[in-house]
Amino acid sequence: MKRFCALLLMLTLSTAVTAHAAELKKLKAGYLPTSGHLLYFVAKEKGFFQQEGLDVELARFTNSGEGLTAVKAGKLDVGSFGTSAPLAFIAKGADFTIFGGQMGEGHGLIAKPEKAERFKDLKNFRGATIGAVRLATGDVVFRAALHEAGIDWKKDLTIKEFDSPAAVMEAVKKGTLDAGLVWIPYFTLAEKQGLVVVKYSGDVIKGHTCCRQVALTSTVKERQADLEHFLTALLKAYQYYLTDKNGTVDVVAKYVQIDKGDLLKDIYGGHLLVSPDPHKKSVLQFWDFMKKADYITSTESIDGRVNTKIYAGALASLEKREPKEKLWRTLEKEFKSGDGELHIKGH
Amino acid sequence: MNRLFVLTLFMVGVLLSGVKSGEAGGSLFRLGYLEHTGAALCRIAQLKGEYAQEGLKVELVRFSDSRSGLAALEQGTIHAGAFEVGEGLKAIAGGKGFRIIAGGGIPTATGPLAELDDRVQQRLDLSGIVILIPATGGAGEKETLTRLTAALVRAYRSSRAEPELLRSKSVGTDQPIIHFDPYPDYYRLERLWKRLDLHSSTFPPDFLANHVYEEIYCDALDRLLDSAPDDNVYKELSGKAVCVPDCCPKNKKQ
Repeated sequence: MKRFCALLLMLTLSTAVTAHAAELKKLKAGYLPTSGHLLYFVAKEKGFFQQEGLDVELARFTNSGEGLTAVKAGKLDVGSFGTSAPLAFIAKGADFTIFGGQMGEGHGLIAKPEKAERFKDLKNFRGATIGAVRLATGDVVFRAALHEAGIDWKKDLTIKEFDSPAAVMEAVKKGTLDAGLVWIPYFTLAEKQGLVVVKYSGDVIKGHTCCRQVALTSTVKERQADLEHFLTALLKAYQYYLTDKNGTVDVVAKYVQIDKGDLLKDIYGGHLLVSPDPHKKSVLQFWDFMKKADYITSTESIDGRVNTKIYAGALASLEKREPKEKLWRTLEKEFKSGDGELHIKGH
Repeated sequence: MNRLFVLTLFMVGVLLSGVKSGEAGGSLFRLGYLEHTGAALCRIAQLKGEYAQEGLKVELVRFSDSRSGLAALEQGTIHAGAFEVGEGLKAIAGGKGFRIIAGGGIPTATGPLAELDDRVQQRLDLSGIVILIPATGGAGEKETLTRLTAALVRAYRSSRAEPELLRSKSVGTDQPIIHFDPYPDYYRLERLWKRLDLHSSTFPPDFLANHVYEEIYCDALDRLLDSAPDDNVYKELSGKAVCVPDCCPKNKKQ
């Protein structure tokens, strides 16, 4: 009899679990192996996606171009792939909508110590060979700054594009590049390997956005509720990131396999901004920078390409659930007050 | 006896494998080109052995007009073709599915008439040359196209070092100045696309972008720069190219 009861209990439990799992909405999200994508990792590992009724599968990519190609082809529902990359796709007609954020800044220019001094001044980029990852946001930040400093990046220097930040770092080490643009954690790894971070992208354009949440416009329309739950999970991950540094590092270490001490420095060292806010104003300004720097040509307005309603809905839902939590009120205040102006530092 | 037999068998095996790999590397690639100075890079690449350098065996097929060349491309009697951009874009708008992988020569108007009338240059822009390929290719397509484009970029480099090469490959007597640039340059193509009013409301907004395969050019340049990091021509071309990848991840470079 005891055995029968145990069996019945097991059956009931397994049926309940299966039923619960069946209720989860599947969502495939693309990421890059960077500590900057920690909101995805935390939301997945700490069960926030599941709490929001989502079964999120994370798919790893090497660079933003590849990831966005998968979004465009419908192989991914969402992805977090830079600011410049989705905007470059939009400039070429891709029907993408940005609906959230992930990270800001987080890029840096690396060089050998003996070459570092030269690159402190943008004017000294003339004649140099610089490596960058195709469509990387840091690449555009520096191109925009060079343009602002009166340097024509199409003529006055050579920018060689690579597939991955690891390849850029190797080329800098070998000396085939004078300097290279990489993202987090590669500038930390570069320092460990004897290279120097000459400038961080945040030194050039303070507060610039990087990886945005991107989906096909049709997906945003059809799955608005799911995406709101998705951002709600990312907001919870953000809360976790603020309150548990070691826990966050432990989670990120599963996806970015480097020393935990380096990850801690990477994530909380002041050169990475983490936020699920879409930061619409900054994105619109970045679009203008890209046009001014002759990186893209477009007469289209992208105002309608940044959807802030989903983020607003996610925040409102959390405020309703947890009215005493100050963080949601603070975030809402920041969201409503809008972003500050982005400025390129002229040095 | 047994040992001799095994050795003989081994030697035959080695020889056969050599023949097989030679055939695979040397399969004939038929490249159509228009009898037009702007298509000179295709011929210079042959003359300078650039195709062979890239491991390609190329047969050049001459066409007297772009339409017949594009028809051959559609029928599959040529694998790629250097034809007029205006005709190529019209064919793409007409649903032919061609893709543009590289640029070529663009005539530049000179003289007082050109200065007074923009339409002179606009007409010439449409007769500039681009390299077109059919809608889809088989396995190994990307590698072959990257090699082809690398050979054309090498030819461009040769033409910069030896300008008489271009003069020797010019067609006709009263030719405008031709500006060569192997970069497919999506935004230039988009301007021409708009000027020709080819976009239909039934097309998706990225219709043209889906027919411009810029990544081939960027991969070819990367490869050339890797082999000659200090080459000024490759560096110059690399510095101004911005490529949006459109192949990956399934065709990701190894």
